[in-house]
Amino acid sequence: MRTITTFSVRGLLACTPFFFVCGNLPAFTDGIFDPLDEGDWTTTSDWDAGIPILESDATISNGEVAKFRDVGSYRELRVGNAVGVHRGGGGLKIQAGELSGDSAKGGVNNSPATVIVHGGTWANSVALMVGGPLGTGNLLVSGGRVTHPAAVMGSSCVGDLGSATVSSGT
Amino acid sequence: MVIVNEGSGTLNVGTGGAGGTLNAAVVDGGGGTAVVNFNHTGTTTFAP
Repeated sequence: MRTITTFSVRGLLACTPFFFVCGNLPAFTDGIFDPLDEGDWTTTSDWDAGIPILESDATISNGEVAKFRDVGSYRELRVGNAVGVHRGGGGLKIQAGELSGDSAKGGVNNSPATVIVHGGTWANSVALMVGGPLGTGNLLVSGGRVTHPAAVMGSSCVGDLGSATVSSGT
Repeated sequence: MVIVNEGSGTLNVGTGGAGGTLNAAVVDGGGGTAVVNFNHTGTTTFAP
């Protein structure tokens, strides 16, 4: 295995559209994934306020995994979050279909997140953040397609950890 | 574009078998620590 390590290549922050804050973020209440076990994104009863739509935020932070294989949307998705009703990690497994939204954050406020893309498409039109703010995020792409104009790994704070593995797919 | 900010970021291409495709105009270490691991069989192609 060959490893290339790069340190502080250049300060690109000034020209990125991101404004991250290191600290607790305000809670939001809409679209909280809420099953007692692994659930399905498109099952209405698995969400406290119904299936998220394009105008609503979605949070998966109850320690469970949301499986996805259909068509769905959100405004902002948080996988793992330490603020709100559920305060813990979370997972998302995209197996088929298309899940799209403005932005997604994995591993917020010290809550680990894992997103697995086996198939289908996961599209974020603004940004994808893997790891943070203040957390650890993992993105595993073993099929399908993940699209975004910019992906940030390790977010904005020292200690944030982001990892992305592409073993198939795009 | 893939950016690593103040934290740490690791990008793994492949897990020992065939690798996937990373379609990004820029992979930038930003202000943090960035690691790219190539761990796949076959050839590595950097296409502009």
